[in-house]
Amino acid sequence: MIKLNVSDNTFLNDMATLLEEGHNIEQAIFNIPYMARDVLLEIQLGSNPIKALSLIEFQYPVIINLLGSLSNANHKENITRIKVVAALIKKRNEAIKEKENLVNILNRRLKIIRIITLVTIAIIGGIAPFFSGIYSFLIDGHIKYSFDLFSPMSISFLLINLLNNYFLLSISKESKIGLKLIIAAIVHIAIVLSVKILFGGVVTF
Amino acid sequence: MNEYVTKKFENEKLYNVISRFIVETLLVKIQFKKVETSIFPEHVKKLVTRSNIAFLLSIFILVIQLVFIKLNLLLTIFVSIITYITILEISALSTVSAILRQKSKFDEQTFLFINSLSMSMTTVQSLPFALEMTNKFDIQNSKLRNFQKKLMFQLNLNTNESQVLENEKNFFEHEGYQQAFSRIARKESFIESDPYFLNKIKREMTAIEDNISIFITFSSLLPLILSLIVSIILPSNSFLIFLFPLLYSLIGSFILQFIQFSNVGEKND
Repeated sequence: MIKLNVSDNTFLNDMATLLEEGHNIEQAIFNIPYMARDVLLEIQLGSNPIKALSLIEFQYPVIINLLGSLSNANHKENITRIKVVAALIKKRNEAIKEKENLVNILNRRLKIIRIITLVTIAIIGGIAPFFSGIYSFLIDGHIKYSFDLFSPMSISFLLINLLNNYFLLSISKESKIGLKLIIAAIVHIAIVLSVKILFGGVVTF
Repeated sequence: MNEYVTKKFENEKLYNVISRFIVETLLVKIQFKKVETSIFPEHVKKLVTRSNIAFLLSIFILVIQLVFIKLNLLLTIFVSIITYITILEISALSTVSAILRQKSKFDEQTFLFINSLSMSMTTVQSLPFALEMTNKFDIQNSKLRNFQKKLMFQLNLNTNESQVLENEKNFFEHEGYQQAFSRIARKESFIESDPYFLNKIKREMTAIEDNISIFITFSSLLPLILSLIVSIILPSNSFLIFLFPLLYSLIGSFILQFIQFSNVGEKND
């Protein structure tokens, strides 16, 4: 199978233009600059142009049927039919491409929001025990910064982070949500621990 | 309301009846408002099972709190209810997003189906042949494949083509698709089957664009302020410190979900 290096609708449009200029289908094939040599050779050897064209691997095999049915109708109708199919292929390809672009942009945006909120909540989770020191300062008169990974507040922040992540993952319709949540939990714990180490170095009580 | 949902199953156990009641009143009427015509008994059945599991889990948590942490009864009941609602909420969220994903996939496949049908139609100029030719394009959706088979069957029975098209056009939800489908038999007419499924993705995108500040405020800034206030007024080993942000995040995700799904629903255009 040979592949042309142009899209199907370009090929059909060129075909329509050449047919419109008054060529028949064989002449049109010879006049297309990017036509594969094997196809031309096949026609020169005397085989049917449609049979020769079927050597080409089109994205939409309907094209062969379309070109094969050209002898059944009048010239003008043939050209409109080729143009209609070309337009339909163009529209289809454009729609698929646009959809992919839109989904990519959407997912990228949601990913950015997800990462920003993940990091922010984790940092807050790391800093939060410091605020508890203020409470003990108000009660006892001296600040103490105690940090425990399994304190109620740390667990609660981890849960907030996971819920938020789950929400954003589910609206971006992603797959493997469980795995991504586990990664988010690991990142959260890592950030909380690094914030704790930073604080332990800077603030000494 | 979808008739499938309100129809009761036979020989239902008592706990299922309770769960079903909760699922129907809490979720189907509030959460699923935007996708209510696409809820099927399987969805409700699944939610009822999850509701039962959530109920068991919340009772387990209640026992643990009473026996091991020795909190007062009112607080433990409160925590259990929150756990129950959280699990229900999360399963409802996953169901709604699964339904929406299915719908958007179907919309896309519908566009591709009509497009390939009109392509084949211009090629062979006969509806039965054109339907047969759509096999060359791979139709991934089973619903569409069955529809195609049904059409072929009807046309094989020598039914009038235009009548079949007119009768069957209601299979497509979007009016534009209906029109494109009913006009497909008209020879030499260019069929404008616009990609309506893109509109939905665009709407979802603008919804996120519009609400991006609300998203970030709800998920990052408010917990900071809340934790600040709570940790100043309460000792660090207080159970309320655990409870308060959790309650917040639950309400927050309720609100975020409401904002998101109020923009993206079943309606077309």
